Amino acid sequence: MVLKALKMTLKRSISGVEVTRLYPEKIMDLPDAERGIHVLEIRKCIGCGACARICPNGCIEMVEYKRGNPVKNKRLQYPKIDYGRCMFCGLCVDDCPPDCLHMSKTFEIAGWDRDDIIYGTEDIGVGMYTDQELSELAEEARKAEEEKKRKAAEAAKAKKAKAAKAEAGEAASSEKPAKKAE
Amino acid sequence: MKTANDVLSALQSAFPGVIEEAKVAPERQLWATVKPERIVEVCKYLRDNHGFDHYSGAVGVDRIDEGLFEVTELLASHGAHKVVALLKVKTPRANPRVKSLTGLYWNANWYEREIWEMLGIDFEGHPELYPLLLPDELVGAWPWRKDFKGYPDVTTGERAIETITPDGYTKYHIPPTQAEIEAGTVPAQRPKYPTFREREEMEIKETSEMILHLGPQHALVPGPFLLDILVDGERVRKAFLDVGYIHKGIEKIMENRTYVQGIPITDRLCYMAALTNNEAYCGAVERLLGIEPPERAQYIRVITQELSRIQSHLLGTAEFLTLIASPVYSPFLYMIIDREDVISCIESVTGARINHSFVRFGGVRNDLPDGFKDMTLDALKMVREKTEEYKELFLSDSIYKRRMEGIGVLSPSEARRLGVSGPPLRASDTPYDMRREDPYLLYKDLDFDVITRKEGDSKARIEVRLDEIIESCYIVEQCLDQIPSGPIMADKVPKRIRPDPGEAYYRVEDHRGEMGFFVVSDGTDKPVKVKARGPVYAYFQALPPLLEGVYIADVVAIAGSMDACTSEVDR
Repeated sequence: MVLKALKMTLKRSISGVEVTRLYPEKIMDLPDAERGIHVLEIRKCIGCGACARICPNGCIEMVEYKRGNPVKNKRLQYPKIDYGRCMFCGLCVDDCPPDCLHMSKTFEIAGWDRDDIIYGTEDIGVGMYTDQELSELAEEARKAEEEKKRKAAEAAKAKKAKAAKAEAGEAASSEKPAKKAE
Repeated sequence: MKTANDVLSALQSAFPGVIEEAKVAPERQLWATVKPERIVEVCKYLRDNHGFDHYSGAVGVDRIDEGLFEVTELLASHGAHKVVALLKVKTPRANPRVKSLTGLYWNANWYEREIWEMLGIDFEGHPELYPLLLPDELVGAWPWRKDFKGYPDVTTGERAIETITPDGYTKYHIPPTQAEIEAGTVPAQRPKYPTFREREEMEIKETSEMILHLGPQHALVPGPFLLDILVDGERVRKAFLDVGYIHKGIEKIMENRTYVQGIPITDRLCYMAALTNNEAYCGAVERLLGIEPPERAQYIRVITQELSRIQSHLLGTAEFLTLIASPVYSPFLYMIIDREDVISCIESVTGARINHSFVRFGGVRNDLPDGFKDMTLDALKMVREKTEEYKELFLSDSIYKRRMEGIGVLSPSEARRLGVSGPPLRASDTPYDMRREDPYLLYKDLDFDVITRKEGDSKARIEVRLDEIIESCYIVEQCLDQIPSGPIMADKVPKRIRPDPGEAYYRVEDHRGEMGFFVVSDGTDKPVKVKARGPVYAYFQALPPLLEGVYIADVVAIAGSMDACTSEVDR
């Protein structure tokens, strides 16, 4: 019986199974499904705030990020994540309507300060806009705004005209029964 | 085999006018509202004539709109039939009183104590209504009531009053306001009862006896709890258990979260059983919503949960081995090495190692990755080989056998009376397994054996766990062969989860036994009440009678063979 146990121990010790890893030098292979810190595709985000609403711990805050897309994300609201509270459940990723929030394989987020583990949009974002793109986008947004204003003015004009017409029509129609009553 | 409708018609003919509302939904669950003054007679009738010998727990719900408290008693049977009776008793909020079932079922004790301390329902005839999970100074605050304002009071901002006792401890107390005293909603005087320390000291009869403390921080325990044993020489005469050191209020937290936000919280009940806790909660909500996951999702759930059972049993056995022979650390590490491969398989699907948050209402979060089958089959082959090796070693070791055989024997009738479930119950020759008893997911189509042992001692409990590892390997292999392709989420899952008003109870076979979730909905996006009926709660309650009369050295062998988890007990 002792021999059996010894045999097993011996087999274990020479079998060469990798038990410990040289951690900081050699990181284990993580699966694709791994839930590490977030990655935000900044070109897709529409700033709806669904991630902030579903977070059970309330660790996501929507903040203004100046270098965003003013056409898609009008108020420039992007998530900021407090990893001191995050429990990596992945509900925010599941709930994202444009599917722009993902979780990466990175898990090393230790910092010296409490502020070090609060990640702003520039820390988690990928696909950042260049200055030129930003100015183009700003121009586009301005044009869209003007277009909208023009359309609104037109619509208001048309509405006014319609209302006037309807009034006239109403006046005419109200005259008719009066005539009938006569 | 008896069906729920048979039991209902028998009840209605035996107690005309006592059963108020009754329904059978789904097929094996009998829901009935019973007149409060007759509940003990009804339960006695069910126990004696219809084989309802398993008291599975009680749920207290605060229906503040109707001015009522509801207590639902969950009764089931150890193998006589597969009906679960959920008997509801209503009592006015102003003066809540319910008759205690402790005279019929021994294990009703803790469940009723918990409802008393949380909701303030007085159980008439209960032998020891002392606080269980809460500290003594919180009794009388009744935290599960819907009008509980927090401690300190979060709505008015009023702080609790701090007093320093003569021994140097700080005590907190929120005084009731004058209006509350006049309305009678808060007792002006908090109930007086002996503390835990006073209760155990009352038991000392002779000068040769002394009390030995194991815990709250002790190497033997899987979390903080206090096990005090009253010893006379080398023998334990009586054992006392104090829990509640890590009471997190998970059930109350879930009342303040939406249904979806509750899923990650269920992981934290017990991280070893995160997947089955997810399953139990999601299953209950799926019942409320009336949706069923597609076939592929069910297969994925079964595969991950069985893999999780393997890793839990491996770690449970490993921990146990360090307990009975602490200098010998290698078996613990061997099992941890084996467990690593299984954990990697689960991680490749769920994306997390222990807190999975993987199951969703009507499906699962991720599909199986490429190469999962080969990877899992390799891991299972290794686990099976190694488990056979461990079994052989345990069988051949004479010291181990002398240490474990005939220690902490639970006879079948005693095990049923104490209300334990899972491996300790199956080691006592009772084939009670939710996968057979209340088949959820695909388990009714799968081929597997329920492992039992006749002896009921510590050795048998470990053997059941090791055999279940091999059985789980077999289940996973079957599923990997049969798994169809298809969607992993049901089509009809609503974007915002708002179940119709109602209740649902869903139980699964946890790694440690019967895990049930009772969810009450009122049509909003947050549950009114979520109750987790955990298996370890029942083990813990059964520990003091099991430890009576054993040697001090065996206390660890018995408590360790239960594979406990304090986090789930305290919630």
